[in-house]
Amino acid sequence: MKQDITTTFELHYEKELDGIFRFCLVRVSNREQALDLVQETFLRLWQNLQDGKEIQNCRAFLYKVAHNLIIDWYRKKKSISLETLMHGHKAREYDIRDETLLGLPSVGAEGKELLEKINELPDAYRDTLYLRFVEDLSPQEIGEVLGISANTASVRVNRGLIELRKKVGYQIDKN
Amino acid sequence: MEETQFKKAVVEIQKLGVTKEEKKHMRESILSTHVLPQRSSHVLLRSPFIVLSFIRHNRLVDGGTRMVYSAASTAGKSFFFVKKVVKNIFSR
Repeated sequence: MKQDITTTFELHYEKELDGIFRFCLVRVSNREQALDLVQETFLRLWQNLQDGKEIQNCRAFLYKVAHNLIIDWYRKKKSISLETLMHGHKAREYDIRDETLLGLPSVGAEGKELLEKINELPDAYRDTLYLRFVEDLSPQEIGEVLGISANTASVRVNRGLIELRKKVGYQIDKN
Repeated sequence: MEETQFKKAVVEIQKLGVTKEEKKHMRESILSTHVLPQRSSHVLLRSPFIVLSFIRHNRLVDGGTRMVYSAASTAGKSFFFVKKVVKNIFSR
């Protein structure tokens, strides 16, 4: 039984580790923090497996946990400026700064540019596009991660693509 | 940028990942979390909050300074006190 749990964990750990790390890194723009979040994400998987809880789709589960942990981290970290309050600007869930991309030395110029453009998109499109094209999640899985239906995820991918095309100035295939 | 450039950009982003060393440490760290409460039940009785906060933060295995500071701060104890507790746990 314990061997089964360890094997299952190892399987998903090997398969999803880099993807979860990328997902966290492009959001928090800090390697150490991203590693902490990844560790916490896989720890939750390990605890769930040990508790004998059934996980239908492990991949979607891991991205969902990572997504929630990132939101929690930003909520803890976020400080509201007086200027924002005075002008009534709606604060973004994520606060991606320009230095985010400077902190990704192993990514080439084109990769950085694409990440910049994706990060400029509205919140609703940014995550769906990233998960669809970079991590290759299905609309069903994206729906599970973001707590929306698969249809809504597909619509967001399509609309996000239209927005992204305007920003990058060229056609992108859906496939 | 054309379609091929988009694909190239995606491949570049997909190259991001953890190092072999980080991967190994993280795996060991996660897989050892279930062992700790049994091994250190006597310590758990003495200072449950500290040990639990360590387990919660999953900082015990590599025991880096930053992690000990983090746990000390969580437990409201001094850095050296927490370090001593960790050393005691792993020396048994």
